[in-house]
Amino acid sequence: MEVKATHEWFKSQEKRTMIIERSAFSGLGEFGSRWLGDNFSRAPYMGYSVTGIMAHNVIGIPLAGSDICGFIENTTPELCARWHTVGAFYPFSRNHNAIGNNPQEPYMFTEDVYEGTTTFFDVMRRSMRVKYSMVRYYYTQLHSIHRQGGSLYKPLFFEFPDDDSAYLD
Amino acid sequence: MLGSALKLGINSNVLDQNETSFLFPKGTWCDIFNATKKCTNNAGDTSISLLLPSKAYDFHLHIREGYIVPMQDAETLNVNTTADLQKEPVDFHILGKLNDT
Repeated sequence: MEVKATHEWFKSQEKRTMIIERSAFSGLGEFGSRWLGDNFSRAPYMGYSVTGIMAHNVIGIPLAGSDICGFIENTTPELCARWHTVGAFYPFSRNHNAIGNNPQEPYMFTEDVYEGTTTFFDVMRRSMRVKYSMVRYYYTQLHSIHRQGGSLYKPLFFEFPDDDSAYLD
Repeated sequence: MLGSALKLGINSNVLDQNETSFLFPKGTWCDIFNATKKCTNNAGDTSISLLLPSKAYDFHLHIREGYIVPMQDAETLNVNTTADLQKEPVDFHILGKLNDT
């Protein structure tokens, strides 16, 4: 209700909204979007983000994403860099941290070498440019879903329902 | 899948695993960020698995046959904001439908 009311007030002022909400109910996707709440800075939580975003696409909230690099606990350079690569493809991509944890902005990792001359910062910058390369596609998909329904970030079997192996992990 | 046109293969839950097996359903799939790479053609009815690199920077985004995808290479264009992107041309990646089925 808060998201709907906020969206409608801004609309009455002839302004467009970009609202991200922490809790949700089916139907919220018409007015706003979701981040997936407080996750941990651990690799399995990076995996859960994928199924979480897919679930939100099923319930009509296509613009969803989880906190890149993790929210609770300190992240590590490799986890944070990999999470930026995974997160580049979230419909909603945002690095987000809890108060008191080690800072995890990409520029914190310019001195941390991943391999050769490539730093973890380089990996993160590349991932952000990948996201920007796809803005037209994402915007078009999300607009189409807003008008006609559908899903953007989805499992293989949504497109290949007759392929048994598409239902595997 | 990202929409109907793109298939994403990425290792999302393990660190330090530098190769991962990814599924390719029926049809031809071409790597949209590495156009010079050979496309993968799966003539069967069920998915095949391919072992591909999965370092921290690796991802595998493939265009599905019969689709057109708009892209702007932000790396080459050296853009930093979506406002910058509005001033730049759009590339269309097209992969025709190669099978009759």
